[in-house]
Amino acid sequence: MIQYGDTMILFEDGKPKQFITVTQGQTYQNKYGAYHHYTFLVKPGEEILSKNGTGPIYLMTPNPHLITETVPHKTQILFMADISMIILKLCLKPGQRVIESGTGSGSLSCSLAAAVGHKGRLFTFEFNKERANNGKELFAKLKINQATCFWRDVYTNGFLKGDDVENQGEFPQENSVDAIFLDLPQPWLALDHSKKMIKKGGRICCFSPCIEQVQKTALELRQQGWKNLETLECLKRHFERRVKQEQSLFDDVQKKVCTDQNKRVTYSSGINQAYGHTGYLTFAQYI
Amino acid sequence: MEIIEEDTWVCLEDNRNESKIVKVSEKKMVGWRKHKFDIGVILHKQYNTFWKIDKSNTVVEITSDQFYDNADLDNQIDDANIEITKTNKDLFDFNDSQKLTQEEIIQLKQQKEGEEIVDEVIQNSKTFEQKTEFSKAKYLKRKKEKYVCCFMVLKTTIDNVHKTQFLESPQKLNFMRIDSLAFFMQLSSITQNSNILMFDNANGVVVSAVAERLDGEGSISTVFWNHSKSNLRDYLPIQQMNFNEEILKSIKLIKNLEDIEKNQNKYTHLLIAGEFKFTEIIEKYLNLIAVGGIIVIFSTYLEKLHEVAEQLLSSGLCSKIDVLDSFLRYHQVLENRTHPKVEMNAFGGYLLQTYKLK
Repeated sequence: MIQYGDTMILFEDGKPKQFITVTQGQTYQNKYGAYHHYTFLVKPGEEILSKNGTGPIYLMTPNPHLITETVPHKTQILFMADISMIILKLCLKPGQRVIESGTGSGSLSCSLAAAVGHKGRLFTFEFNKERANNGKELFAKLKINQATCFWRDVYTNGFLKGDDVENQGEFPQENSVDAIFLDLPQPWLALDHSKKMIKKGGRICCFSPCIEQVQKTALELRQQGWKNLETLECLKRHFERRVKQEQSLFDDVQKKVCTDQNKRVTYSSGINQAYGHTGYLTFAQYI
Repeated sequence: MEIIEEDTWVCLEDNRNESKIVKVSEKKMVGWRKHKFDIGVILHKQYNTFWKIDKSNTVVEITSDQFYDNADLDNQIDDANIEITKTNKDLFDFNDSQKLTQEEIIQLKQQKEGEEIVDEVIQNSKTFEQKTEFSKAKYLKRKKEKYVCCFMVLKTTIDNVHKTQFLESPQKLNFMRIDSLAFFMQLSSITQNSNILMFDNANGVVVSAVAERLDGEGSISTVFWNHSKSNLRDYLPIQQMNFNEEILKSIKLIKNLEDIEKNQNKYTHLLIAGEFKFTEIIEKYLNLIAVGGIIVIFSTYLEKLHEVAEQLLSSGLCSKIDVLDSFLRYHQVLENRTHPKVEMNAFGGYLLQTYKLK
């Protein structure tokens, strides 16, 4: 049962639309009318009608996939295809410790945190103060306790606590993390710091949109002795159903007479709008 | 540092980027790449170490430099010093460039180490010196891959378990490529305390991935294709993951289909990986899925997923149904030689995802 104070994901017109924190005494307004928050105290996924009795909306428990589709875009975010590959190729397991930089809008952070589970830890670093605060708020709102967000420039300051007084919370220790993910404009500048943090056998992933960035990263990774380099790109492609009534060439079009054979048939078709490129993922292992 | 214990499964990855997953125990013989060797040598050693099979088929430890000298060869050309003066203008294929005969090479194999054979073969190649640096490197790569057999020992992960299974027989996994497995996991959003109803016809790979993510904190009621005869021990991937007792206990094998309905709590997930009659499963078990539950189906055939999509829509319990597939391309990234890899797997299967609403 949903309770006051829970942050849920609101489905409108069958699609995830926004986060909503169920609060006593509030109403939610959309084109179908007003919804009292007390009507939200049902099971996740149950139909909720507006005061006019129209426009069913649904509240869903936030999960990593839905969060990615709902999170407000403060920056360019990572999408489902890249996130899936990052988690699988970094071999993340419950209980592991992982570093991320930068936090951005927190789309990937939530998925990483879910992959390491409540026994694991996510340390995420962001150099823009507003986004760092946004990350902290997001984790608090969604009750992701295993994630800590730090405000820091990792190119110069790395990932260790050092003499940092600005940030609260537990910092990662040297040679203690299982995986590192870098989504930075110049990932090669953070590789020295990454090497200090990673366990033997641990993995790193760098996300870059441009091939020149990938080349520089790969060169630096090799020079530093990272092994088993692999660069890939991954995109998703959607399909839809179309119900078509096939017209026969021999029909009398004027009279709109259809023969028996002209029944409705379901076909599948691709959707022509899609992302052609998001970024390259470069993986390496520290041995 | 973690040590390889008796009866653990480990992944051997060789200098051709092929892999094999074996169970390590004392004096255990393994056949791989036309060699037969005792893998027991690596027992009680560390992970991420490097080994070579020498001419007497014994496994000996080597350094990482020695290993990468025989693997990752593309990267060994110093781009700065490349003379582009040489061309292949004067190279002709008369099939006589190699002076050694096949018999001589077979003889060499018994007397010498892999690296020595490669040297010998190069010395006896008439054309090697005329080649450009790039084609020299390519030649060297081919020869080293052929004559030298070395490997590194890695922990098994879902990535390399899938890779070995997929290379061996993709049809057993219903052509579920690595990215489709990654999508499957992300779309099903497994959290602790999930109560999963799972139909697996992908040789246990997906069950392993799901069980690893669940980490014993929930339950997976698993139906395999030949459910009445199935036994967890028959599904190699589940064993290869070296799961602890807790995780193994969370995988509930369903032998009798009536047991599916006996579960007291409703299922939070309905996951189907591989070919079944989907419409039959949805018709029979959709009512056992909790409201707000997640449904993910993987299939080799798009039409089958659309058939299910239609069925789900007409049931009125689902509103947004995603049907998708994915595109995966690997790239070679080297200075002055960056391009998509020549070999590509062009098909990875289709996925359907939706939520049960009310």
